[in-house]
Amino acid sequence: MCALSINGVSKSFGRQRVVDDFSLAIESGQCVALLGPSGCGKSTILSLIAGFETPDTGTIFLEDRLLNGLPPQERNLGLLLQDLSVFTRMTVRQNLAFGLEARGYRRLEIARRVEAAAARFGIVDLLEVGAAELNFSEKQRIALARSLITEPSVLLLDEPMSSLDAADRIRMRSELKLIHSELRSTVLLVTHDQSEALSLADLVVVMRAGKIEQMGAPQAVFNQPGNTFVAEFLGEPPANLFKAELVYEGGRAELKTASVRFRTDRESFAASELTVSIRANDLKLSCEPGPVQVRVSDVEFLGAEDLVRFSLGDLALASLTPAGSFRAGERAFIPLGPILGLLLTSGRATESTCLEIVP
Amino acid sequence: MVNPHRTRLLAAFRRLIVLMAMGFALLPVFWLVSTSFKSYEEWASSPPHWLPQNPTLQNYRIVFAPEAARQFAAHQSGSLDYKVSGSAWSAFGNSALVATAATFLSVTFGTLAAYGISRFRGGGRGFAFRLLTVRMFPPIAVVVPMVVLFSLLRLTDTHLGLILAYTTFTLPFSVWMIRSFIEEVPIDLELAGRVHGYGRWQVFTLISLPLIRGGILATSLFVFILNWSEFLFALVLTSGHVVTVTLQVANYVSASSGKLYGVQAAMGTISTIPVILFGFLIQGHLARGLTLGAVHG
Amino acid sequence: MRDGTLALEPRRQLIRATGPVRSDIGWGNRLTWPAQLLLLVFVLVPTIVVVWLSFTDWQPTDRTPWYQAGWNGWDNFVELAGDQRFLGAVLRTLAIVVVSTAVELGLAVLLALLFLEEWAWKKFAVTVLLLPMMIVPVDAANAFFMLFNEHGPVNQIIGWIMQRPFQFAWLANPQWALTPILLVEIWQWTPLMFLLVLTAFLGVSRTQWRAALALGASPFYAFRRIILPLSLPLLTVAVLIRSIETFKIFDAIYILTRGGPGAATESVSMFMYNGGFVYFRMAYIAAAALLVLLLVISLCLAVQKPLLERHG
Repeated sequence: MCALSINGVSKSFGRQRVVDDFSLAIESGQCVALLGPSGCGKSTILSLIAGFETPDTGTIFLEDRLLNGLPPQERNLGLLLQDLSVFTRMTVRQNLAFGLEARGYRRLEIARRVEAAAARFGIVDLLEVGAAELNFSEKQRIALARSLITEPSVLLLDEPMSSLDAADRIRMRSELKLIHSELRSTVLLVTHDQSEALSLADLVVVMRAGKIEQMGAPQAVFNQPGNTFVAEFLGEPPANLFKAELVYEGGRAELKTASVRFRTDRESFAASELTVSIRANDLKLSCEPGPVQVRVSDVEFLGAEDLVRFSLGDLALASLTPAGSFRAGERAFIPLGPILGLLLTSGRATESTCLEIVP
Repeated sequence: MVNPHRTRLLAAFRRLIVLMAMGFALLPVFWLVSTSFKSYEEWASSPPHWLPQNPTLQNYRIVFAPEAARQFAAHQSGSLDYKVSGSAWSAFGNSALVATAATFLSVTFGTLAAYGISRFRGGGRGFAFRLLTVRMFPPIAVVVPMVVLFSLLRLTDTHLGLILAYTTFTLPFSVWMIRSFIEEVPIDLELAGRVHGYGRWQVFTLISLPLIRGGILATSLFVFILNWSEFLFALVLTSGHVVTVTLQVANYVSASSGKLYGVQAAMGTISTIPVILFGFLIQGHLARGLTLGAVHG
Repeated sequence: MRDGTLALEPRRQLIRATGPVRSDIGWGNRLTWPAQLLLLVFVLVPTIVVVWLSFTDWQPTDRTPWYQAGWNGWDNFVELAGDQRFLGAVLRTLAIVVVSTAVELGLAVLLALLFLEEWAWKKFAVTVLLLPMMIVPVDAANAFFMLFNEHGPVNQIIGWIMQRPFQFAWLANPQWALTPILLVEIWQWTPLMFLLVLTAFLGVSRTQWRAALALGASPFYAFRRIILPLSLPLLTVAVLIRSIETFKIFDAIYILTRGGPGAATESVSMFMYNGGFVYFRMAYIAAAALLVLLLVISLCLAVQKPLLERHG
């Protein structure tokens, strides 16, 4: 039985349709990420599940309970909001105990659970500290502990890591993974950060403008984007995308842009106008002279690697190379050989192919 | 599962309470306005008439033309004696003059002082709070010696006297309100001005003042309302020559004029219009003003 | 300056960006002089005169100038201590303050709770509810005078409820005359409290409220534990300021009863007005004024701390 089931939910604010016929079934113990740019409706869905907004259409079931019409306090969900909303005028202990006190648990039980949660989250020495005095990552641990202490069936997280710095983010990620596997809780995570979604989730749901663009395991969504939006959104840096036309030259299929031709190893194609996606790390550059010459326009230092932007004919492409290999304005060469690429047609499955540039 | 009927019931209940509150808020005002259009027989009729049966402008005529009052007296049978002292016109004129001048002075001095206090800790550490204590005196406590002072300075029953008294006692409002507006302006802007070579006065007039223009306007309207509505000082510090609207209203129900409720209501209605007008203009700033800047809302 | 370099003088001020330079303090002081002058002449001097007068026996009807009034020592104060009318006025005024502030606060909270969510004609309702604040107090008092007239609508309504004719002379009755007076105060100032309470409630972070609900708190519980504590500072300021203003109540009492019947509705301000301007015992009233001033100042000092907290 699925832990959370959302069926045909729509929500409009005024004239704007923020969520459009959204359906999703989340299995118990699954970690699902709602991934998408700002304004795509993902936070609204969280609000709808939590009960702060009512859907215009559709139903939401928590196991077999209908949530529609139920006020938020009766839904027993764990909620972690983006700004944490830790209760500033209370101590950490009072924050942790709040949910249990509100539900009328006995004092002994509350104390026991609070101690256990504090130990689990490493905040025992913060228990008597006023919540307002903590730094952000401490507050986050409090907020997380607080929402889990009531043992909710589903944990809802709204952009939990967007305010963290890089180091904290990595730490939080492993922390969440640990909690998820330990507690086997069902987690619904809302984020705009695709690496977060890919690393944490069992199921990634890519959203845009209130609708689901693609849904699947992280590897599936990453390696086989169903359309250009998903292909662009996932992957850092963004993949190289360009349109190409299918032509037959001498009995072989070739993909042609205005000035570049690619041989492809595929034999059947979904359409004659295709979008080609090549990841930056699949496209290699070398200093050794060869038939395919490109001009480097810009080099971005990323630490271990460089993002080298260059133009190949009419195409503006980017490649990830070891740092320091190239400088702006230089010439570089693409070595001959197969390049992994994806052919996208909207609505159809992606087909991967090996491309070779025809000099 | 929340009962949809229950939510509808709660909503209706809420609507009822709000309507009752609104009715309570409107009733006295409604009565005042309604009475102002009632003819003489209906002023204190038994049972009371909620709406005038024959609405008339007679009361308003009497307010603005005491001549009409005397004619009215002649028209009526004897028991009422229409000797209303002063005319509404001069009352409006006095109030307008005193309120405007006092507002101008109060806001001007207040802005200067507020700027000095806020940016430069002017007046010493306690000055701002000494201003607050002024507001805490019951005015009557100060009024007794003020009467003495006024007679010494020959300010009794003069416009200037009232103006100065009003200015002084609205200073706390001016200073604290303007101060809260000044503190919303980041000091960096002024420092930038200094860096560019502007002197202190220029920074004040060219940078700070324009930015708090709205606040000064709101404070002015607020102080004007206070001055226009003031009663106690006007009562005690004048003796018949300078009559403000608040005093004039009282004139219509007195030993010499009888109980001209309708006329009083008419005067009251008109005299309260500026306050209502300005009050709604600065609706957003009322909380700030009445808590002396503590609440920004 | 013009050539792009920083002149030395402004530079110095930049370094002390958080505080004024000594020359600036002088200038800042000068800005406050007009205000200080007014305070000196019209507040400080009268206060000194009050202190002087309170030790004399001056009555303007004496025809002797005030500075030549006879010395009375502590007599005025002794008399005040035993003056039932004075003590009555003080107690009555304190009672008025407590009752009206409590009622205003209670009504304000009840109303504010109804305005936390959005609903159709909310803005219009707020505008109407704020109307009483924008009526000249004297006119409001007159309106209530007419409302509570023996033949007025209030009696009429009570008559309808009780199903028999009801003609009660409110303002002539020593026990009940305070009611219309209290009602004028409450009517005029509940809107302000409503505004402040609503501001306090709405200022509470929405996400803290939502987090509380998600944790299982009912709206009542969340209100008690989240909204109320967070609103307390602002509510305290509101109550303090309102109490101080109510203590000074004068206009309504003058219009409605002049403090009568007898001294049944005399507030401190009314007592001093009657004593000074009806009975012309100015020196006596000066002594009363002094006592009241001391009372107010000590209350002031007591509340200065929370107010300081609020202003940061």
